[in-house]
Amino acid sequence: MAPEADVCLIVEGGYPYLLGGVSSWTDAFMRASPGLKFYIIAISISAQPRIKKFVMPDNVVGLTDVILDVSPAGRAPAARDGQRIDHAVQLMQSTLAGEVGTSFDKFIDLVRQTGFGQSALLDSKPAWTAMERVYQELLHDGPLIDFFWTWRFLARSLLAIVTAPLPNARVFHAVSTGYAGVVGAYAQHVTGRPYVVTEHGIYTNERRIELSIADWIFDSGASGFTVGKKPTQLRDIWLTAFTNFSRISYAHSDVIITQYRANQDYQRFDGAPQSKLRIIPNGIDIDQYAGVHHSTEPRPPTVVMIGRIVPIKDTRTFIMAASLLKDMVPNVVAILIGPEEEDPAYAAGCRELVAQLGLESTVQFLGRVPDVMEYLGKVDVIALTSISEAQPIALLEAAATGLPAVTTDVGSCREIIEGFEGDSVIGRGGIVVEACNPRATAQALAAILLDDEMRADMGRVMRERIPNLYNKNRIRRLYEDLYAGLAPELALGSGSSGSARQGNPT
Amino acid sequence: MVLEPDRIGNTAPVPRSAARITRPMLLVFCLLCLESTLFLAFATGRLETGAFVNLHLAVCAATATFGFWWVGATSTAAVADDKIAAVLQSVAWTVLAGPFGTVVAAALLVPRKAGASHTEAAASRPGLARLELLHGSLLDSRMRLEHAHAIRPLLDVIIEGRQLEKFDALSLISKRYDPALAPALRRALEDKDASVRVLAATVLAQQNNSHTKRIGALQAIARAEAGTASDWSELGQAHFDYAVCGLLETSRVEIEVSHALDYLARATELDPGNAVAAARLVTVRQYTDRGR
Repeated sequence: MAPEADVCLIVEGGYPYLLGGVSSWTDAFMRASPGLKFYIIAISISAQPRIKKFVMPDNVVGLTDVILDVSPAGRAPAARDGQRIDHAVQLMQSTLAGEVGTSFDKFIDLVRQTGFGQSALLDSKPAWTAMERVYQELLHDGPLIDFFWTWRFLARSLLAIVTAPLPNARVFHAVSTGYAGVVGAYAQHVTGRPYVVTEHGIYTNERRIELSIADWIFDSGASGFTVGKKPTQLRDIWLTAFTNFSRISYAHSDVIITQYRANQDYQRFDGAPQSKLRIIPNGIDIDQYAGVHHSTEPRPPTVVMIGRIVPIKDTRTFIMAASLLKDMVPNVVAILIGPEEEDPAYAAGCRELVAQLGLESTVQFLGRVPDVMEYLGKVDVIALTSISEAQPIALLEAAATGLPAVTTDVGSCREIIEGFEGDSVIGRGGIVVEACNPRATAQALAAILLDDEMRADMGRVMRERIPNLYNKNRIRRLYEDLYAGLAPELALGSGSSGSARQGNPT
Repeated sequence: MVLEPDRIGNTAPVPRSAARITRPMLLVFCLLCLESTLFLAFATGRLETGAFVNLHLAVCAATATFGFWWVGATSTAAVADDKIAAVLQSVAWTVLAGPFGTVVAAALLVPRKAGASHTEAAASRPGLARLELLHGSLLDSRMRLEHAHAIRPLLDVIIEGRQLEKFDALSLISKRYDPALAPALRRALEDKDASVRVLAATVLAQQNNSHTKRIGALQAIARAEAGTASDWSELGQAHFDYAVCGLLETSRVEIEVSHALDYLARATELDPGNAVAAARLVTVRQYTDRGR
């Protein structure tokens, strides 16, 4: 029996094995509530190395790995099981590629009742026959071999999820929809405990984007040249599965959280009921960052970009912008802070680009630094050229110190910089530019660097706006109150640890 | 899709020649002369009715036979049908009305020739001819592209499509990028849907990355083997490809073109006999000249 936990956090492809925004959020989230006991369900695939990149906080009582491409064999199918196997495959088909309805719940119940696993539902003859039927219905004019592997992965992941051991937690909280959301829905169905989902980015949108440019999916012309009808493509099967995962997650959850308003439109589009939607932004340690002293020592105008050197951060655009900026602000220095090991080839390409553009004396790669705050006091503006973001913590932290920002129009960056309807702090804390536009980025940076008054004013707006909305203590209270509302035993002083909020003065 | 190879796939450009234009007209002219001579002889009493009719029919038959052979044997399949029809038409009119019928046939042949000039103009430009034939085939259903009317220009999809349609369009742009698609990609960067903007930015970054990566790799090779003309030539071409990819702003295009010129010039200096480098240099120079 797993140890008792207050909250079971369900994480996909991240914490504690991978670095990144959501992983950092998860770590900080648990540390912010030391009075709560957390349990982690980490979802990954067998090819992903499971080497912890985080030292887990003391209030984590356990960790279970759910490996999507490893499902239990289950009991061997008997001769009389043919019909039940066919029914189970039908339920999987509806869950993955049809109108979900209650098919996922029925599938969980059927697997629990029958003890079916991979042997019966994937490796048996009736399972093959049933899969052929599904193939005919979903991709009859596409290649069977591609369908086979797609089906096998998706079906196996469903099996891995609905046979995963669940901890004895009072609340289940998925940190995204997708597979994590399906695990949350499974936990809710089996235990009847409350289930919360927090979406940083919109999972289905991210998968749609990913699948649109994926080169591992074969685009078939097999359905001919009837241009009035969209041909059946393998990617559609994946897309429908991911959309259904979100629908399952939304249907089972008690509360659906995201960090900013724009995301709610996508959630509603994917079937999230309005009554369950809430906004809880990211929180940072305001006292720590507001206390950063901005150095007055003479130094060249300095721009910083904080983030992993990976394509999604579009570091190349930052470097190209630095090249253009050098013409406008000749002695400018551009600093890149962030690890390079996630995509070494891309990082090497960025260094090559610096050499190509002759920027060796302008652009500095600092890698991972022990204390980023030390640098925030020695720069004039933060730049963020990301192609995609949700609510970047690095931006919030820099903004809390009073640094103006130039960011692309992604995620909630515009809200952070320009505020939103009803925001008590009026004014701009920086400039929002189009993604992949080095010139616009350079011009915005130059405008801020060359105008002391504008820079000071933007810094003031940031310093005022951030504590109001993105204060870690406020955010922690919002989550703890939410948990207490869903599981009254987690209310003040009655958590499994004896005091859910102990040691968290607000 | 069903194509008729004889009419589309194997349509070779037809050589334009004087004979091709004048041959049916020449035949009609000869026929008119013969028929007029016969008619005058008959009208002035030098020929009797029976002899006139026999000679008239013999001239027509001879003209038809000769016409079949002369026009058919010397024309390509694409135009022979038209010419034979013209000859037959002239003979038929002549059989019915003698030289008066020949005049009518000649008159009919004049507009026919004007119409034919369109085909001939198309034939003189193979691309256009193929396009014309493709268009014709599409219209008369010899090429069965179902719901061809449903094909929408990519830019229209980007401007007014639904989210998933825009994703499909951007997916195509990503996989088959061509500089002509740059306006559609740029338009997608301004879309009101953030996820479309993200995908467009991803595609744009991908394209930029592939160019800069290629340039970086070739730069390393060229610098490592400073004496190899072909390496500098490849590097110059990579810079030029980046310049004309449609994704860069003018100032950046100028820088890339200037790199291309430098490296290609270096390649031709190192090996004046390198035809590839020389041809590339000419192309880049022509590009810059056009720009000015």
